[in-house]
Amino acid sequence: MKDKWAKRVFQAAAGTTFLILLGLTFFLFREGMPALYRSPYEELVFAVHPANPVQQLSTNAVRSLVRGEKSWRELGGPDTPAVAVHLGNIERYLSGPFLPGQLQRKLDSLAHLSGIFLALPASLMPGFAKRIRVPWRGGAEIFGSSRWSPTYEPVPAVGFWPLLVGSLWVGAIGLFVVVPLGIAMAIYVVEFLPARLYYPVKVMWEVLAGLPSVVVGFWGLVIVVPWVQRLFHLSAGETALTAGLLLGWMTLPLMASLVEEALQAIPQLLYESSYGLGATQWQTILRLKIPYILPSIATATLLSAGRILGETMVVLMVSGNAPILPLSPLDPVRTLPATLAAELGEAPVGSYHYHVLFLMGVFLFLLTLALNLTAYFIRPRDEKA
Amino acid sequence: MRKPKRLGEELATWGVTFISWSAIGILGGVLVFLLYKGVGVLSWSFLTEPMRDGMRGGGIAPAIVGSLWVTMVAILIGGVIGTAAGAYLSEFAQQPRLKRFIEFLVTTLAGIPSIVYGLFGLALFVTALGLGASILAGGMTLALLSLPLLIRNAQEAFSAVPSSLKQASIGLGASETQTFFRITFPIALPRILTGLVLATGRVLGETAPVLFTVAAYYLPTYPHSVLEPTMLLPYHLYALITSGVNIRETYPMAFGTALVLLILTLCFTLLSAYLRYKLKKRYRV
Repeated sequence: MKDKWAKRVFQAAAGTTFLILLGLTFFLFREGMPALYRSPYEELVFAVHPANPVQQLSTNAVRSLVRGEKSWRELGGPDTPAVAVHLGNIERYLSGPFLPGQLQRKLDSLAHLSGIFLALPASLMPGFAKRIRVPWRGGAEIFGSSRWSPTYEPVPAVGFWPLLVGSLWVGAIGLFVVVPLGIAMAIYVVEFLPARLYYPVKVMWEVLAGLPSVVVGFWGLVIVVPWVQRLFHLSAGETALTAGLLLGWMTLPLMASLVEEALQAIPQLLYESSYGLGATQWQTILRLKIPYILPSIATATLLSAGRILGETMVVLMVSGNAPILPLSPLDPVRTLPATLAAELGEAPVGSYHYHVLFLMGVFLFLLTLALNLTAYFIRPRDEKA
Repeated sequence: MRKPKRLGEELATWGVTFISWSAIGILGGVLVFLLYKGVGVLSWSFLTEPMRDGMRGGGIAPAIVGSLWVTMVAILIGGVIGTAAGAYLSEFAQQPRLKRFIEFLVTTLAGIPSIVYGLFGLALFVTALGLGASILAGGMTLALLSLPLLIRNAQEAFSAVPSSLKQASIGLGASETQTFFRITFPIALPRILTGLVLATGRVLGETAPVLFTVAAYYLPTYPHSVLEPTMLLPYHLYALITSGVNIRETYPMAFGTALVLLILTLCFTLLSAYLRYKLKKRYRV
């Protein structure tokens, strides 16, 4: 009887892994999905002058109208300059002490402006205005737009592209560093490292793997960033390249130890026969050992990619944090995890910004999950034990 | 057997040697640089006094205490669940398919970015369970994060106990759980503790998962219960560098904080490496 209960407890502990994965998926989706069907301006009403024939505007049209990039004429309206009034600039139309009644009267007095565009809560909307629709298509905004500006008034821009491309740049540079260097380190340790140095070197790898990322980020900020800036004559050294280099270096222990494990597992008979046939050490490495462990190298690469894409603090500190579409590795970038870290603290729980950040979390989760699952299933059979 | 070396091969050997040692050399450079810049800041009062004047003066004691609290909660929760789960995988799992499935889950959990755990902790512990930003919420988030490492380590520790010992115990009439608690567990304990030490070092340095679950930006007091938020070393370092009022003034503080954090994590990492070395020598496995 006691035996049975003890076993149940152990089984339950193992079962928590399932619960964690289930709970993680559930909560991420629960908080993230509203970003797809809710709108960021649910409490706002959009309106124009009654003489304005426009019935509906796209979110892009509203943004360019507010920024003054487009006139009403281009949007099918009257030939007058646009005057946008929204919560972000309403102070400009107020003078003196703020009282609700005064605000209403002030807004009513704007009725003579035929180019007016209003984006206000329904309670503030003056009576003269004609309401128009600004439909929000969450999916298209999130996956189709190349701007990320989630607190922009009155219509935020929440395109994931700049951040995803930022992540891909950093990931590509990181892999470019970690794959060849990691393989080289593994070869060195297996083939050339004197046995008495083996343990110290492995400890060093472990120290590097255990280095707090915020410390690496700090060092990068103080040393690597100015160095990149001087080397490439940039105005700022916080670039995708800086982040990629640091992340690649940080991930070396993971890559190198996975490749090393694979090299150690090569049957002795194989490489002894290669030597027996007169091949040199390097011929054996390049023509026998590396081809033999290619599947393991692929696995290690995918796992390293997952690690690099998910790393947060280093990128947050050294990549410049600019959520714009990066065109070269010397541009400042903002990655998906860095955006989460930088903005989630400021987004009120339950706001659209909060939900869209959780959707980004879902996206990041699925991205790394896909990498890890692929790594798991292409892993050489005998290692799967 | 050795052939006359060719030039290309000589170069390749030099290449991999150079790469390996420069990766380690950069690590050494980081350690020496932070030591050089930070050691002047370290003093008894830096370690034992709370912050003053925004973040420009005083010490970092609340952040050290907070970090130790959160890490302790994380390792306690993670250690218990991880060890039990490892015991199940190694000793008690009877259906191989279920065992393989759980191992697959552990691998999957290990690959999830730490910031995603932070989001999960925010949604579950902080918001849904109503714990607020607190040591408990942050500690549990970090426990989840370190669980894959702890489970794998415990599983390996239990599997490494010679089966002859377990069989002898069963043969003497002990039940499976008796064998586990009196034979397997005590023998595996040193290895499990080694894994806990390693995990402690990792958890101490984690920043992303604690951003929204526990870390306070400026709270120069000591926590009274696990339901309070607290300052943490990694987040304090981040705050010092990125959002200080005057970056130049907070830089010495940042170097000091970085050095303390580095020394703490280094101690745990090196201690676990040393313990593993000792165990290897003793058991020859």
